[in-house]
Amino acid sequence: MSATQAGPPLLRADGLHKSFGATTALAGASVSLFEGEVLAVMGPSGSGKSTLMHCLAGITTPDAGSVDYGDLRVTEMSDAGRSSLRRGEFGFVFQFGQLVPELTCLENVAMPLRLAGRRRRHAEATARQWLARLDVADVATKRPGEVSGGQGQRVAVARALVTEPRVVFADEPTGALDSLNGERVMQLLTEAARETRAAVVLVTHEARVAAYSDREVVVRDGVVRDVSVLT
Amino acid sequence: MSAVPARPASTLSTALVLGARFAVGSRAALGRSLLTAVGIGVCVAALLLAAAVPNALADRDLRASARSDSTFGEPALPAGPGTLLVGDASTSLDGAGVRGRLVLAEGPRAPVPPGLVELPLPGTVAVSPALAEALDDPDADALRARLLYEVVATIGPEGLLGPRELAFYAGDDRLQADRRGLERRIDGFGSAAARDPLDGFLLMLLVVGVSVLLLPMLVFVSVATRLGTERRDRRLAALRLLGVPAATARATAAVEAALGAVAGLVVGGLLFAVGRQVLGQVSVLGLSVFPQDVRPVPVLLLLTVLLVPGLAVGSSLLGLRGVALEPLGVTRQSTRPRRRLWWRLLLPAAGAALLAVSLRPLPVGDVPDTRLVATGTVLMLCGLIAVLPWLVDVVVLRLGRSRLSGGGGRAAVAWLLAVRRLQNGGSTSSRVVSGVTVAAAGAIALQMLFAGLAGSYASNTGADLARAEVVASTYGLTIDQVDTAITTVRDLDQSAQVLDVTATDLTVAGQDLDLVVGSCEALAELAETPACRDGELYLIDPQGILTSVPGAVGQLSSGAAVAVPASTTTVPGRVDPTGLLLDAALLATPSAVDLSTATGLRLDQYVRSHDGTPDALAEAVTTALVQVDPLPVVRVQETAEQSNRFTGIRTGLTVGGLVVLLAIGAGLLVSGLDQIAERRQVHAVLHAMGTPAGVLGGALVFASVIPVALGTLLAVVTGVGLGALLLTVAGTTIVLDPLGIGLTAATSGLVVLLVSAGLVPSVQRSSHQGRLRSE
Repeated sequence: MSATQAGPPLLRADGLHKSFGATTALAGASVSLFEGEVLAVMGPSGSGKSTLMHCLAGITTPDAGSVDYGDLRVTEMSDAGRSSLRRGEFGFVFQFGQLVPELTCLENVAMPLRLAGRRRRHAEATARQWLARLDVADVATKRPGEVSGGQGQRVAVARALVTEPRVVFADEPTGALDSLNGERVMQLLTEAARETRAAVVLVTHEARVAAYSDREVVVRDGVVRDVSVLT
Repeated sequence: MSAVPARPASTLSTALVLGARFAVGSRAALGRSLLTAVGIGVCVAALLLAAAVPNALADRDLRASARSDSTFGEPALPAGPGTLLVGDASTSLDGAGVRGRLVLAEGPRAPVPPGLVELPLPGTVAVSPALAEALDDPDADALRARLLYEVVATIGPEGLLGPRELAFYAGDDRLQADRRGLERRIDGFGSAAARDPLDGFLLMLLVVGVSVLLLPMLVFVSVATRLGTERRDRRLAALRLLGVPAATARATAAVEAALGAVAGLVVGGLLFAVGRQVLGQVSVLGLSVFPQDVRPVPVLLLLTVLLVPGLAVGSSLLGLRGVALEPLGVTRQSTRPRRRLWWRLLLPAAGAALLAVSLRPLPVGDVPDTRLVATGTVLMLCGLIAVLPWLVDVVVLRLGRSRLSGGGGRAAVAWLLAVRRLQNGGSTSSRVVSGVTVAAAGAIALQMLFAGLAGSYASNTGADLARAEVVASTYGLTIDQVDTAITTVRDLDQSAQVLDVTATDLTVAGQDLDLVVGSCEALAELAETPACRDGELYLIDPQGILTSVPGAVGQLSSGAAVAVPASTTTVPGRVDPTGLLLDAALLATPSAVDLSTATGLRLDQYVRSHDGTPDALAEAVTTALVQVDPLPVVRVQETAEQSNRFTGIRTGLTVGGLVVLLAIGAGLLVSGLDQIAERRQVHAVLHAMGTPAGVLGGALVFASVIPVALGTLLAVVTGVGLGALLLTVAGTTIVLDPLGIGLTAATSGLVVLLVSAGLVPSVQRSSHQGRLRSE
C-alpha cells in the first residue's frame, strides 16, 4: 500500500454502472482515490476510462452505484450541487487544453477564481503566479489560438490548479503533445499537485505518462482492476 | 515505367464535388445544411410573399370592381325587367366589418352578383363561408337577430375579396326605390371605371414601407449563409492538407453556400406554398386573401431566385476574407484589421444626399421622385448595416476595459464571456442584430411618416363624442314605427343616454324646411332653446328666409297640416353631435305638433354609452332597429375619418411588419442554435469545471443585449433622421411620436431578448451533451 493510502479514501466509487444506449461503458467499476495520490487510470480506447472519470467528478451520473467524496454522496447531489463541488474542490485538464478561445490565457486561468467571487485584479494576480510557475508567463495576454499546444496545455494545468483543488482530473493531458512537451507537462502537473497536496486522477493509455503516478488501475470491459502499487 | 502525372481536376468540378459532399456528406453536415436552408427559406418565403403583393392587390381590386353596385355619377335608371334594387346593409360583428346588401329584383332579368347563381328571394339570404361559420356560433344570437333571413346559399369566391370576408346578400321586399336614396337601382354589377392610381405620397409610403420590410430579409439570407463557418473553415483547412489549392478551397465554400441557398429556395418555396394556403384560413387585421391571388410577379420571382444564391455566395466569400486556410489549420488574422468608419458613413451620406436632392422646390401639386426617395431610404438603412459592426467593435473594446469587467462572481464572468465573444466574433452578432435594427429604424421612420401624413389623408368630421358616441338614423317610418324604434333602443341599455328627434319635410309659405320634433333636451342639441317647455316651437333661420313662416300653416309630405304660431321665436342653431348645423328648420316639442298621420318620418337617435364600448353599442342598436327598418344607418362617431387607401397601406405594412418580425425571430433562433452548436465543446468544458448553467445562459443574453442596445440606439437615431428627411421631402411638418418610437424600439429589443432567453435551455443542454472525450 502507498504511503498516501493511509486513512480513509478521499474519493470512492462503488459498483458503477453506466450505459450509453446499447453500449455498456461501466459494468460495476469500483475505485478509491486517497489524498495527495496520483492515480493513473489506464485501459484501451473505449474501455470506459473517461466515463469512469466523468462519474468520479460528478460530470456524469451513473445508472447505478455510488460515488462518495469524503462524507458527501456525489451521486445523490443535485446538478447544481455537483457543479458547486467541481468548482470548489476539483480541477480539470483535458487533452486539447479546451481553453475558452475568446479569453486570453490569463483570463482563462483567472476564470475559476472569478467564478468563486474573487475580483478581477486579485484573480489575475494569482493567475499570473500560476502561469509563471508553469513557465508560460509570456503568453498571459495571448489567446489560446495564438499559443503552441504545449503552452496551451500548461495554461490548462494552471487553470486546473489555480483554485488549489483537492482533486485534479486529467483526461489524456499529453495526448496532443510531442513526447518532450508531454514530459514537461506531466512533470509540472504532478509537481504542482504534490506541492498543493492535490490528488490526481490521470486518465491515459500511455505507460510513460502513467509512470508519473503512484498507483495504476486498468479499466477493461467496464470494470476496474488495481494492477500495481508503485510507491 | 515512367510516372505519368495525374491530370488535375478542374477547380470548378472539384469544388462542385467537394461542396456537395460537404453540404450533405454526413449527418452533421446534413443538419447544418438543413438549418441554413430553413434560415434562408424563411427569408425566401417572406420575399416571395412580398413579390406576390402586387398581384394580390390587383386581384383584390378586380374582385371589388366586379361586384361593385355603385351608381355614383351615373344617370338614374327606370325600373325594368333587368333592374335590381340594392340597399347597403353593411354592419359589424365584434368590431369586424360585415359587407351586407339587401336586394330586390324588379324583373326576371335582374342582375345576379358575382359568387351567386341566383338572387336570394325575399326572406332568404346568401352568406359568405366566414359569416356562415359566425352564424353557427352558439353565441351569435345578436347576429342572428340582425339577419332575419333564412340562409339558403353560400357566396362563392368570385363574390368575395378574401376567403374570411364577412358578407351577405339578403332578399328583402321592403326595399323601395327613391324612398330616401339608400336604395340604388342597377342593371348590372361591376364597375368599368379604372381605379385611380396611387397619389405620389401614398406611393412613397408604399415604396419606403416595402424597402423597410425587405432589407432585414436580405440581411438574414447573409446570416443564414454563414451558419457553421468555423467548422467549414476547419474542413477547408483539411482539404488544403490534401493538396487542394486555396482557390479551389474557396470555390468549394462558394459551392457549399450556393447549395445551401438553393435548398433555402426550395424550403422557401414550400413554406410559401404552405403559407399561402394558411393565408386562406386566417384574417389578420380584417384582411384575408385567396391563396390563388397570392402569385409572385414573374420578374420579382426571377429576381429572388437569382438574388438569394448570389447574396449567399458573395456573403460566404466575404466571410473568408480575414481567414487564411492553411494546410495545418485555419488561422484568423490575429490582429483584425481596424474597422474603418469612413466608407461605412458613405452609404447613409449618399442616402441623405439623394433625399436632399428630392427636397428641391417642386411645382405646386407635384410630388417627389419616388425612385430617388426609395433609393435614398435603402441607402440610409444599408448604412445602418455597415455602421453597426463598427459601433459594436468600438463599444465592446471600451466595455472590456471598463470597471464592469472588474468584479467577481457569476455575473462578472458571464459579462466577461459575452464581451470577449463580441470582441472576437462581434461581426456575427452585429450582422444578426442589424436585421432587427434595420427593421426598427425603418419602422420608426415609417411611423413618423404616417403620423406626419395622417393629417393630409384625414378629414375632421366635427363629431362631438362627448355628446354622442353612436348615431342611428332610420328612414321612412310611421309614428308607430318611430315609437317602437325609440322604445327598443332605450330598452337596450338603461344606463345609456339616448336622445331622439323625429324629422320630416315641411312646406310653409312656399318655403321648404325641416320639421324636427323632440324633447326639450333633444332639441337643445340642435339649437339654443332657453326656457324650453313642452308645447314650444322654434325656428332656425340663419339666412333670414323664413320671416313669413310664423303665423302660417304648413303641410307635411303626407298632407297633414302643421300650424306655426305667430309667437314662434327664431333661435340660433347649434352644431349637432354629428358636426352638422341645421339650415332652415322648425323645431317642435312633442305636444306642439301632431305627427300621428305622418309617413316617411326620419328618426335620428344620439346614443352615449357609459361603459365605453361604442362598437358593441352600435351593433346592439343595429340589431334593435332592423326589426323596424331593414336599412338602418348606424355609425360609431369618430372625430376624424381617414382615407381608405391610407388606412389600407398602413394596415398592409403593419401586417408585413408582423411577418418580418416573425421571420427575424426565426432567423435569430436559427443563428443562435448554430452558435450554440459551434460552442458545444467549450460549453461542455465550462460545465465540467463547475461553471453554473446560469453563467453560460447569462453570457448568451449579454452577448445579445449589447449589440441590441447599440442597434436600438442607432435605429432610433437613424429612424428619426430618416423620418424627418422623408417628412421634409413630403413637405409636411416633422412630428415626433416618442411613445411610438419607444414601443418600436422596445418591441425589437424584446424579440431579441425573448429569442435569447428561449435559447438558454439549449445552452444548458449543449453543456451536458458536449463531447469531453478526445481519444
